[in-house]
Amino acid sequence: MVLTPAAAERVSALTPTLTPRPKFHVTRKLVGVPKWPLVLLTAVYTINVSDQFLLSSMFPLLKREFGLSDTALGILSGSYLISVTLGTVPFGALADRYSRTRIIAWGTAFWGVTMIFTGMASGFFMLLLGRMVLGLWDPCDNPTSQSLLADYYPVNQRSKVMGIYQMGQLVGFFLLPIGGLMGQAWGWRATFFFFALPAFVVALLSWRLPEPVRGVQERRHQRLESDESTVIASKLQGLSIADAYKHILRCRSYTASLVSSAVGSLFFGGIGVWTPTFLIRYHDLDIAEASTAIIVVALGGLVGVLTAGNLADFLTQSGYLSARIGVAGIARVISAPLFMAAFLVSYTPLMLLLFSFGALFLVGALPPLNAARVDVLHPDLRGRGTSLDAVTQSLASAASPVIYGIIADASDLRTAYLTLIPLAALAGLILLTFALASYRRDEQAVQELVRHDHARHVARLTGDGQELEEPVPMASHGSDPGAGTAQPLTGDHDAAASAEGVESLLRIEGLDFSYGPIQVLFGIDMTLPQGGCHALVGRNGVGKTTLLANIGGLLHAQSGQMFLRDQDLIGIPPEQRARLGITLMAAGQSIFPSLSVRDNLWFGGYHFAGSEGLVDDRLDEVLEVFPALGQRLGQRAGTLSGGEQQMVALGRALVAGPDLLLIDELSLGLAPTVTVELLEVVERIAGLGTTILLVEQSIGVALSVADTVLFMDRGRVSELGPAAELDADALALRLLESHE
Amino acid sequence: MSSSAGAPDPPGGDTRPNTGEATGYAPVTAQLLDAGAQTARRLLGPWWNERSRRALFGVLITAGFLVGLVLGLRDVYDRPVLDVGEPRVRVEGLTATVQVTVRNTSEDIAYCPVVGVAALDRDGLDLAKAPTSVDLGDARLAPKASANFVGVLTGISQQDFDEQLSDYAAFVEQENPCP
Repeated sequence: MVLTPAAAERVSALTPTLTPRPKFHVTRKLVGVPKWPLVLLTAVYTINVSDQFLLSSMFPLLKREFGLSDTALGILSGSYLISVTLGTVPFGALADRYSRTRIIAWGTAFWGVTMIFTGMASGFFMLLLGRMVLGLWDPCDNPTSQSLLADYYPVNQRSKVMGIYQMGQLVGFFLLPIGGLMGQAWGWRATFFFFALPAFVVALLSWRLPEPVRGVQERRHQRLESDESTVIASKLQGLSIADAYKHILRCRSYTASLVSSAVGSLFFGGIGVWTPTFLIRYHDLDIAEASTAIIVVALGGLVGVLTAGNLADFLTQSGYLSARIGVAGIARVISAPLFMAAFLVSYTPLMLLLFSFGALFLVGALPPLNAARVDVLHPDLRGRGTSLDAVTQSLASAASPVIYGIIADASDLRTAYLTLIPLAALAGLILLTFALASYRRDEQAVQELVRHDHARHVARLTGDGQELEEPVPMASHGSDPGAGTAQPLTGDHDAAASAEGVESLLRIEGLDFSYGPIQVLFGIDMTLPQGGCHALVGRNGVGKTTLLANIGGLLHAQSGQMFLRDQDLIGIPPEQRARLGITLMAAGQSIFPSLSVRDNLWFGGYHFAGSEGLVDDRLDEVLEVFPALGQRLGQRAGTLSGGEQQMVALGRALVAGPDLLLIDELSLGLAPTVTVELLEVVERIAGLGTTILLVEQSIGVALSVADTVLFMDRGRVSELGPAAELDADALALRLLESHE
Repeated sequence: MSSSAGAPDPPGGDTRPNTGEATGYAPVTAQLLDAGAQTARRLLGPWWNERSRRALFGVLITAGFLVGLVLGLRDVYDRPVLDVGEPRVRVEGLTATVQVTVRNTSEDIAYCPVVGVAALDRDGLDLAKAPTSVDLGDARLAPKASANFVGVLTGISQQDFDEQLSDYAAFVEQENPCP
């Protein structure tokens, strides 16, 4: 599965041949992807940014109410910034390990709670505690959201997506005056309470966000798989913090972007603080005019983030594969002479115009740079990489106003600007040299890692252990861990299974399921050992098919737990369960009647996309088992007899090579002779190591093929024991009694 | 049982915390995280599952929203008994004279308030601060009565006047119900 360098070059994530080349539009919309996750994450960003300076706009009110000194107010501001910095790195690590949507949901909810707590403060120390805790929650969104966005949206739209997301920050800044007005009208406490309310709304919506699989867009872009729900483990997931950062910093283009951000922040970190003063000193504006002018020219940033994001994606798809770094670097370089001119001219409107364009280019560099940074970070390291960048920028931005002040004291403010503006050009040049030189190589290295992980995953599925560093035992063909042996099925099965050295494959605990108000499954407890064929018998309507549908993921239980080995299945969609090794053969309608036999069989291997040879091999095996199908490969499956249709369904299950095969009513509507033939195949599949759970109404069929028998009545499962020890008549009688 | 206790699992997502087992790594961090998760799982027992997490989250969201809304509305309607008007400012050189009207909204209590005025910089910090005295009216604010308080702000440098002075504020330092 490891591609040659030439092949890797061909299928690299940014290769334009894989995507259509669109025409460039500044406001081109996202195509073919859901927009609401982006809108929601942008809203979260806006809310988190909006509070950053809320406290300072409340200073006069706080000062009067609590009699605080200026030093105390400074401590409140500083403690918040320290907390944000301290919280960023842990949240980055969490984002790489746990569910990102839930991190955002919980983080934003606690952010709202902390805002309310702050609003209830009765003194300085409560205020201080509130601000420090708030600072810890604040970074829950940025590293997490960037990692999420990279997995939500296609690689070729990443820069544009980052641009829209970046708007959240700018909009958050523009909300600050609203906080000030609310404070004056209703008091500072009410302002904090009301600012908390949207947080609860977006937290609730974030909870509903689907959690994409890490790296799924890279896999999709390389066409490694057609489905995106398979979780593929990578070596990088389990790295220690130190090793993870070592790995991240070994990426030259990332490190160059980090240095560029730090250098650039030393310049633009002080712009917001000092430019009003500059306008007052050198352009005779009063404070209100200067503050308004800054807000107006900052609107240039909004245009910048949208334009540059689109432009970088457009150029990338047009064949300039390093365009993201290129656009970011050029934008920063261009911003420098614009700022230089702005701070030299004396005509105020021209100064503001030049300043606007400078802001447009400076801020416009962020989306393509963020996208490029994500490109060169492995999907399992993006949270940490993004958080490291955020910390670096924070520290440099915090130092920037001080540097301006020192230079201004030593000389004057204009000299300070003229001294520091070249740092913007330097930041751009770092990108255009060091980052540009290694970006493609680093980006391809990430693609290669993703491909390698995918190859290992496929090797595991096929049982080809040679490619694995640590082969994972699978119930795939060729292995026979427990086939044909009868293992206990319920109660203390874990203990029993482990005592006999047999792993449990499926474990269900307390599963309840209802169709609306009608409960069908009642606290199902059940454990299937790995290997063997296990029959589930019971009369009509007791919940057998419902139980299978729950295991297969077609229905979702209201409560209870379900594990395939140690994999929690609750919440996992059916297609992902299929990839985990569960195949459901539904009763009666388990083929696609309008498709040919060949296509039906091929469907069994849809999750082996990229491994067509493997599917071909399995297809040949199926035709050996069912030679009759070999003559009818081109025939529409719907025109086959009932028995032949079941053969196709079983054949498709063989191609899938599941660990757990769920068969619902195999004998339904079939002649006894056909049933016998199919049962032989079922035994053969079980003999290959696949665990089978067979739902049957026919006692004879169940006892003839199963190793063990489970009995289901009124939504509850109980164990009957090994099939060989059961009496068919007694079982039939019990079945009849359960009807009464 | 969920894959982690510290952060809940998503529906249908990348839920698997990597312990490094499959890759041969033995990361201390991952082990610590998992040890914490297992300890929490053990302590919380069967109560810590997707359902209980959803319920807890729902309670947090609902309670947070309602508490925030109620407290916010209460603050909107629960105004201070002494209503301080907009400060009126007269500037002569580097001296600012600030006048403000204070009204006692109480129905039955008279107040003898201590009122201050301040010049604020762009960050809301004090450039100068001064006490006030009653200009018109009685220092004893009878119920529903108003009085003008005047304070003089001095000591602001020319540079601060030009570059930093953003606003003037008046405030009640002590309400002081009159004896």
